[in-house]
Amino acid sequence: MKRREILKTLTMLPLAGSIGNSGSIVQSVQAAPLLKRDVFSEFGLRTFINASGYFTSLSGSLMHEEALDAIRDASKHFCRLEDVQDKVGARIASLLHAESAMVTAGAFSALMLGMAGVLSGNDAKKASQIPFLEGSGIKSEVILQKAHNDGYAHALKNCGVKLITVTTAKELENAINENTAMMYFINYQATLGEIQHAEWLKIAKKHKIPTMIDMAADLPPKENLWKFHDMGFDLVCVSGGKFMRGPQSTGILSGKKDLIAAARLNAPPRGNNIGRGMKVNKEEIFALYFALERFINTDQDQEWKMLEDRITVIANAASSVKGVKAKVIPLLLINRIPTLNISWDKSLIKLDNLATNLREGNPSIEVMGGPDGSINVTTHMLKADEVKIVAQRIKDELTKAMV
Amino acid sequence: MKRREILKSLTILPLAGSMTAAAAPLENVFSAIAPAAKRDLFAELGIRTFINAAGNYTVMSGSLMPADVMDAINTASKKFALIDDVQEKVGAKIAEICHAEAAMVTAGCWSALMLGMAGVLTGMDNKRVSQVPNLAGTGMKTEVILQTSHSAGYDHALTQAGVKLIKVETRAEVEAAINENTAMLWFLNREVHKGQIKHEEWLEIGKKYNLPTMIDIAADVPPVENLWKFNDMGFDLVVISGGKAMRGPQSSGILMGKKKYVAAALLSNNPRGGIGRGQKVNKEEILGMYAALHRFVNLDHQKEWQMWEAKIALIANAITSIDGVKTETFIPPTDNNMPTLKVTWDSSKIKLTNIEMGERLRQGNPSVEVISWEAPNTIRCGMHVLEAGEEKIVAARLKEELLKASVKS
Repeated sequence: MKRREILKTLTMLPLAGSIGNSGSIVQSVQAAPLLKRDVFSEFGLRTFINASGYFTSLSGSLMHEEALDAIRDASKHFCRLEDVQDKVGARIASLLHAESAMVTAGAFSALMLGMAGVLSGNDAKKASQIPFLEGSGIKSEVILQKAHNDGYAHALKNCGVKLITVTTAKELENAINENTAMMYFINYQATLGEIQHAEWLKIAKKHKIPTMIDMAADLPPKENLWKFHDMGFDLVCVSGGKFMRGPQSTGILSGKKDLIAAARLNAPPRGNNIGRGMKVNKEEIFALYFALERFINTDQDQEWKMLEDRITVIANAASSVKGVKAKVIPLLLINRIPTLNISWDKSLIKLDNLATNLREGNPSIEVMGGPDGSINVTTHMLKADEVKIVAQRIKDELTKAMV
Repeated sequence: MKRREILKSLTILPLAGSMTAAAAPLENVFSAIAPAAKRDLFAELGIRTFINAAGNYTVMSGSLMPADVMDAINTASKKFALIDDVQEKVGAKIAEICHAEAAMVTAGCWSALMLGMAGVLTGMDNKRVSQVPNLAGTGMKTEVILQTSHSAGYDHALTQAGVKLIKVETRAEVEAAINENTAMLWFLNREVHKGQIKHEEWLEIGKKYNLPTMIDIAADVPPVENLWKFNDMGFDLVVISGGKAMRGPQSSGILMGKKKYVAAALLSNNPRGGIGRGQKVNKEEILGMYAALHRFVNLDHQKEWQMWEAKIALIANAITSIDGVKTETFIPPTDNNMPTLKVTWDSSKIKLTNIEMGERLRQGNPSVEVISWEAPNTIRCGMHVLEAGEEKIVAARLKEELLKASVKS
């Protein structure tokens, strides 16, 4: 054994008494904390006002004080990670109407771990074989609708399964066989597929196939957090770092008790599994829980009204420039947030790089590109005092470009 | 469908002017919620906290982040920045400190192993990035060679990128195993004493056959010099954990080495899709990792070492006079290379198994974790994870349990 060999090679140092008065040395010699540093300017990092959204590449969302407090408090003590997942998972599950839950390193991680749990069950050997399913006796196919195959299903493929895409309910029934491990549904693509939630679940139940739904960015409404459990999905995946404003590298996998237990077999702190690289630490787990609590306790309607009022301020400023149109665009299922499209009459305003100008201005502002050179603006990631700045900057750029 | 109805019912709303004075509602609705009373989340959730006299174990939540790291996390949380920007700028600084061409922060050492492997396989080819780990028929190489004795469980991370592990013992076996499918030569620093082939020879073989090399030094600092030693030696990729002796966020690690491989590894990582998307690190962790590294390289390591020895002496002094108890310093030679206190006892004089001792310390108040699973009638205590003053509590608790189990003569 490793340790034993190491033991043999070591001379054993007699120690007791070898150091005399050790009182002062015992005190920590940790270097004095450095001066408070502005990490952003130290690294020359561009920070920006986020009028775009909680996109991963834009570093998600900003955590509320509650989440930061949780991180600070959690950082002070050692505890067992399994304990944290057990206890926090149970609280999250009860908030979400789920049997069980765990915190993951994002929604993608939740997809992978949920998939791995379905494949391995309670068998650690099987867990260690993922993603090499051939000859392992592990089921190897996942069925989804063609319209739902949008790139995130790559997470499932990382576990070694083949994706079988179908269009109609009939095709779905035909595709089910003894290798079918799971039926996967992406909520935000629901309107694009022929088969809706209820029918998907009904067919799955009939054939006793576990179901998973990905609703990564489908908050608000907050009711989505429990709606799909109530409907009967076996596993639900959601991102923690978007509208919920938990740590960016967190997500939640919630659902059936046996499947969550199996998923945890594939996750840290255990090794020899597909999930070991998807670490979440105790600070993140606690912070996500606090963020979730806060999110659920927030007055959704009041918040929505605030977002619309902010949109109004920006819309008013933009459309005060002659030739500019500012319209709220229809809501989608994903990122279901009031979004303002700002476009302009190109004969009156010569501007083809408004988004870039805003990015390169001071302060830097990120917006989304819209159709035909227009821009899309959201207000949910803005701090209160940033609303007017965004409105003014947009107005200035448009005014400057007037013919 | 409800959604469809919603969509249909939504005409594009003309907005300008529809609201008058909107100033008040602009205030964040959140500010209306009074901050909750300060909560003790461990107590609230019934989670046992403990004095860690064991070590930087993942199950025990790694290490405690020092003030510098927490400050970085806190500052990083206040503003938006591009994740790519953060990785690029922080990576450059880390690379400079560690004598590497490039570096990136990963979600732990395992993640660094997997992403480094993926980078070697894909290069800068996005199509290949989307194909990993299903390598068959893609034209990507499929085999990694390592020494049998280095196959200690962590090599599993490489297989997640789709490769097969080819295990060898001798140099002749390595050379025989190398073929056109060989993607990389992998070395686990911790097991260097057990393998026939040492660092230099491994690198020499890699150079001879023009194969990239990766070394895993997950828990192998201190000594601090290990941070750059293997880059200086010529390994193409070096991976290390951030949440152990360096005391960065537990879910962080570093992948560093040749620019072309690190750049390629970033393609498989968040914020992009691909095999690493599930291994998210956020800007707080990336900057926290850097702060930890910065602190670690600037520490007075000699003083740290003396402090650990002094703590060992304090605990040892408290218990060596107990009949049947022996104490000694044990320094793991490669990983976790820091002095620990090894306590052994004569089972005829002290009626207590090592497992029972571990359990009693765990159940005591305050709860204390030690390494109690290694050998009969033996426990080991790590000093580098103790907070100031905790060594006295550990000494008292050990003494108490040893005396309680002593056979009265």
